[in-house]
Amino acid sequence: MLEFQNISKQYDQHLVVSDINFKVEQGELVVLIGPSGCGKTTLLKMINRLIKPSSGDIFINGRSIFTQNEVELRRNIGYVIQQTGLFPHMTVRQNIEIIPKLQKIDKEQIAKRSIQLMEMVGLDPQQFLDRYPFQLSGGQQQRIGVARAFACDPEIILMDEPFSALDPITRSQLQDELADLQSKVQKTIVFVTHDMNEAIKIADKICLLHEGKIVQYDTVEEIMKNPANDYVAGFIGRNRIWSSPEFIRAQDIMITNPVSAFAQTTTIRCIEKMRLNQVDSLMIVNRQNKLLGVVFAQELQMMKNPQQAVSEIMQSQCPTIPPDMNIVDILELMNEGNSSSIPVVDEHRNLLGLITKSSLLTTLSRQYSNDESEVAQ
Amino acid sequence: MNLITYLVQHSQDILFRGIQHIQITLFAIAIAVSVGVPVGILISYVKPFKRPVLGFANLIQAIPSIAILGFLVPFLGIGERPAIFMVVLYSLLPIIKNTATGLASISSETLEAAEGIGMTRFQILLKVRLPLALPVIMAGIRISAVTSVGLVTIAAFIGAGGLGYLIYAGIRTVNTDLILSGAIPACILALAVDWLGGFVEKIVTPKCFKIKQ
Repeated sequence: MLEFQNISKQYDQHLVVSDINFKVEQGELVVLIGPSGCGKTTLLKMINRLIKPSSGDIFINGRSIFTQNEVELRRNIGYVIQQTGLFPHMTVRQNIEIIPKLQKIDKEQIAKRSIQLMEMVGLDPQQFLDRYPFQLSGGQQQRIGVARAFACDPEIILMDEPFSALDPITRSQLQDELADLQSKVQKTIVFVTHDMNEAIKIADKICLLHEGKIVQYDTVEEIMKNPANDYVAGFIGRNRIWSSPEFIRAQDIMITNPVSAFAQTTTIRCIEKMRLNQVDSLMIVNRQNKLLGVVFAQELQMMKNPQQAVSEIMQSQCPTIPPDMNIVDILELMNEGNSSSIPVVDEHRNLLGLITKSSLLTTLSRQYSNDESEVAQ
Repeated sequence: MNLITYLVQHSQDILFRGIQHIQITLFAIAIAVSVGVPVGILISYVKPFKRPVLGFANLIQAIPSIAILGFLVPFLGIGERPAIFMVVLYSLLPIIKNTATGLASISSETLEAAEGIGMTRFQILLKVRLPLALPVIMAGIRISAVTSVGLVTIAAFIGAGGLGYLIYAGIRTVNTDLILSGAIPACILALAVDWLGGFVEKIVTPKCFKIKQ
């Protein structure tokens, strides 16, 4: 969809961005993030040719943007900037309709579209279309900015720190709305910010920049769990993952080699195995490591016949967890099910690991200790 | 009491001179605007022109108006033509300067947004820069217009006519009534032009500035 190839930009002797390569797929929301001066805005403005790269090429749908008419290109790319982007002397309607009008689109169609756009950004058309930007709050102005960017129904939308001047509550609200809107319209969006919380909230992928280079370009989950280096880890923040616990999954926190036994094992041997390994439950598996059931210490101790096969007393209908279930759901399941340990299995019921109340407690307590460098490893 | 009788008796003549005065002023202002605004736009796009153009306009402003008339008479003769030429020269500076200042005062974010959403340079000038700069440009025109009323009075010196003619005639014949019959309408005219300029300025000011103030 959108591809940067060997893009560099030099101002005088200073290299602002160097040799940038990355791709944005159709319908993805990619956040360019980094400290100020990292080149994120420079990269964004290259896409609509407000800034010309010193070398390299940018392609949209396989076509170099430098072979296209500049004005034509920009009209097919939505552009949202900080609050001052609206024209102060024009009403909301005039602001939204300026480009469609310049394109000589049918008047009725434009008017219809404006109403649609206002509804899309959650503002009452009747009430707001004929107001001036200064009569609106910051959040409302920014909604109009978004509506204007969508006016020509472009494939790509660029957003340059659109929410950074808003108060935290409005900002958070607009982030939610953008994420919601994006899930409906599936535009290709490139979004610049310096706020990691914002990035995590809205992004499909994050492109972390530092001193004009891409440090890591990956999905939000990957970048949080496997930061490429200390810089990324530092930028994300040690305990950032706890603000998005849905990214912590069973496979990240499970005990990977749970104590298990085969179905034919006698109860007495099972008790012995538990005692040796200091556990209170045993995973019962077949030779192919497929989970057959779970047996708990209390149940074994109640058995009178020590030679009985464990398969006769195990709970074969015990709850299990898929490896990608997140910690929030796991906690809920633990609370409901009342069981102290739940096995993690794949779709073929192969045993992958085990989550116990104590392993959960250990995981949860890590956010308060600083010795552990990474939570989800 | 004498003065009023005099004014009433000569109202025909005063009216004629007044209309002549207004005509010269309007004509000069129209030329000054149609030259000054484009030049102001030009120097705000072509930066190297800015200093020489403003320098030249400043220089003209520094020369006494009577001296300019003196320079012009050998080339343009006497009458309305050199008068209009002088008024135009004097009016240029405020118009050029205010046009350039007004165009430069628009926030870079607004201009970048205009460019970024796909407006051509000409569309940006026409739809964004000029409307936003209009109050400042209009203020320049207003200053020029008021000054022009005064300058046209002086231009009677080289036979341009207007209300100044009455004043000069009065001075030559030591007739106070005659002097005042030119001076009072000239003052009223200057005030009226100022008021009118203010009125136009208000009309062209985009709503966003009006309510903010």
